[in-house]
Amino acid sequence: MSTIAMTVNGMNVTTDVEDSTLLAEFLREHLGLTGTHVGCDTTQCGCCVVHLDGVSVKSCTVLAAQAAGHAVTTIEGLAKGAQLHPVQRAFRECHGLQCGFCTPGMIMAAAELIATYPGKLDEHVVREEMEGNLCRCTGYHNIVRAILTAAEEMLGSDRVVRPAPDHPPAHAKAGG
Amino acid sequence: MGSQYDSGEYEKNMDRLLQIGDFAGAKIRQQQARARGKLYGIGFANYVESSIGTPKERADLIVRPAGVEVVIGTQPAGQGHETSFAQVTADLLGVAFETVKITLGDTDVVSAGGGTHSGRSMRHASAVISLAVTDMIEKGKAILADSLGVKPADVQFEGGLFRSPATNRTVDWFELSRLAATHSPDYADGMKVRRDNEMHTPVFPNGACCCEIEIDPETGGVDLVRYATVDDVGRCINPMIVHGQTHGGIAQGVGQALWEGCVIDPESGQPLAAAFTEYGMPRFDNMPSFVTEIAEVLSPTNPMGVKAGGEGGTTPAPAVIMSAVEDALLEYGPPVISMPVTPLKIWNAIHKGRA
Amino acid sequence: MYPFAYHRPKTLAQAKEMFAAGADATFLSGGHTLLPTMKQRLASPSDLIDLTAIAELRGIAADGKLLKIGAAMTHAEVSASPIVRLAIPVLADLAGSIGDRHVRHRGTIGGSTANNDPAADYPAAVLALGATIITDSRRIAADDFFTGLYATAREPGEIVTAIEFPIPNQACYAKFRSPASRYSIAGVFVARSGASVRLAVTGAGASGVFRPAQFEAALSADFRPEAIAGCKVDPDLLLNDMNGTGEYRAYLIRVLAGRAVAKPGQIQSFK
Repeated sequence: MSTIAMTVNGMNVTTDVEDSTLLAEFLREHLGLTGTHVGCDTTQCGCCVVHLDGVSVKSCTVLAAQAAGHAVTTIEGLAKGAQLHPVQRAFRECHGLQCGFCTPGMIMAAAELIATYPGKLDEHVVREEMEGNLCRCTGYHNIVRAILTAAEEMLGSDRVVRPAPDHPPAHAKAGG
Repeated sequence: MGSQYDSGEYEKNMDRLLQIGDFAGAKIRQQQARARGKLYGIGFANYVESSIGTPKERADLIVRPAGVEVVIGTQPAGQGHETSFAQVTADLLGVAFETVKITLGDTDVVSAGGGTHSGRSMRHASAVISLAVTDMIEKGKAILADSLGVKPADVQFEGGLFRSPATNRTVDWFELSRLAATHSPDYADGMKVRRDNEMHTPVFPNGACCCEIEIDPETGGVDLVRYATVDDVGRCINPMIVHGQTHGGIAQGVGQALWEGCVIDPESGQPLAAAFTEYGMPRFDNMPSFVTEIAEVLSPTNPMGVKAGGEGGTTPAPAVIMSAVEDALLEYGPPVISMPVTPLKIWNAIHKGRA
Repeated sequence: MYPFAYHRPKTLAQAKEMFAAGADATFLSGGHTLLPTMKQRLASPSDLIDLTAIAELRGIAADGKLLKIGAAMTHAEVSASPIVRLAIPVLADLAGSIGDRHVRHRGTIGGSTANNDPAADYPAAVLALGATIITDSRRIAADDFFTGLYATAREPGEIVTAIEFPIPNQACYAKFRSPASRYSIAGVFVARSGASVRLAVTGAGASGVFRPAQFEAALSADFRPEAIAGCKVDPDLLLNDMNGTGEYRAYLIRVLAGRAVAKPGQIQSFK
């Protein structure tokens, strides 16, 4: 049992936890922030992705104790009051979600990708960089569209390459 | 003997698919891939599937001054019933979409229903909702007639409005609901109709699908590079939702063909693919974007002509992938390969003549 | 997970004290191998000593001959480092090809090297580049460090603090990933310095990462893909599992070695 302190969505949090408490469990059970989901619990599916000091991490594979002294942002912390984050808006408009279970992790992953990726974002890059997030409902097609749509709004159209609307792009492989 | 297909323009679907999938260009892409030392398979499949599902459904339709509520017994998990059923209701009643709320999933409120499976939901829900609306229109006419002192036959309903020519009175649904509440305590909580419906006739969604895969003969690695479908879902209430269903279904079927293997050790019975660490999944980086088109060939079996859209993505997918694999490996057999088609199986087929 | 006590020392000395004080302590770095293992209850240390706050384990520096990377540097940091990019670009690319984006934000070069997963990418680079594993008490040559499946020369309580890479003339890496696990079924890292070529294979060896001497000799004499056409690896020395037979892996090794050498300076990640 240890006392840990961190900021979560900008708020200071100090509490006692068992050292073996995972960050995902801490957020959900201790803080009631159930937007972060536990899908596979084996570090694969990405439903649990949150931001730790601004970078995306799988919270099922981080101890709450490891996050002590750091800043955590969850899906609940993206919107500004009633104003949705551009990624949230784009997911809605592009139908980038169906059951919604993977969606918080998807949005957190996409938001971080868009905010930190140094080069141009095109379909190939998005598909490669989002490899760590699984979805069973959408087949990924609309999520890719949503991410590129949000990226265009957030970064400007010179940082984003949209695919031709009626043609599936050539599936360029790294090293192929 | 056998089932009677409800309706379908099967050859037309196929012709359209060959167009939108650029089938004519596939041979060229195949040649180009071969020039790069790759194997290239063109896959093609037509499908027909049957959608039946639990035959009964119930709708409670309630019109209140503040809006319309439909209580229905389907259970969506992302198929958007809350949206598409509201579209159907709003369209049939002649009210704004935003005024309709769909209630489902709470057994304290939902008294009966058939659930969601086998592509049944829109067909059964739209049928029972349209019947409930018909009943509600009759009820509305009766209420207005009674309050104006005219005969129900002298009340007209059109475009969401009840009109009594004799009294020159016109009201919309919400005004009528308010009027009804003042007229009788029976309508204090809105005008209500409960309707049950039962349909046993299957419908037959159908379509055509083509894909192209590239295989690295040295590694056995498979790359799905193109995928196109035409799906006849009957009347399509919400294309965005139906396309989403098709996309997800495609991934499910492709996953089965290429990656998803429940491997069990034959000696010990130990599952060897018990987590996504070993169980291959469709992911962002192994799936392409799709070209999907909806064909609407109305079904004569239900009031709105709906077939189903939830399964059509999956149905042809394993077949079209295996068709492409067989095409790519034609010169080596074609081999007999079981799903999932792993790189090891492909490599064995090429280099050892057995998969 | 079984219960344990978590510690976050600020210095190496503290870390060693905490390790010694624990009944059955284990070091924690990125945690993306250890924590999943503990969640499956396949490991249950009494104490976890988190090394990532220790300053001596951080940092990247190069001096023209040697590139030194602190053990606690994440894969994302190595991948994005302009110093690594300049010194050994394919090493930056290798780091950027590990796992997925979120994993790369946590996993570290020290953790990966000390764990010696038979399919991990870093051991191939560390071995092929002839790197030195620097610990809190000694320097260990890569050739002496990787001793078997998940096994290294590191003593219990010994802390890897940095990996020091001699900067080669050329380096390249080609790997073929399992579509399921996304780990390498085979991965070949080639490094050339002058006439000397070192080549290390990951993902395939039954005893972990290894250097096939025949390939190195052939490429040292003639650094072209054609030179290894006749080279072989004994399939019986290779892993045989649901991802691949020994025979398949042996073939992959030759193919990947040829492809790597055909594109020096580059990473090629096939799937």
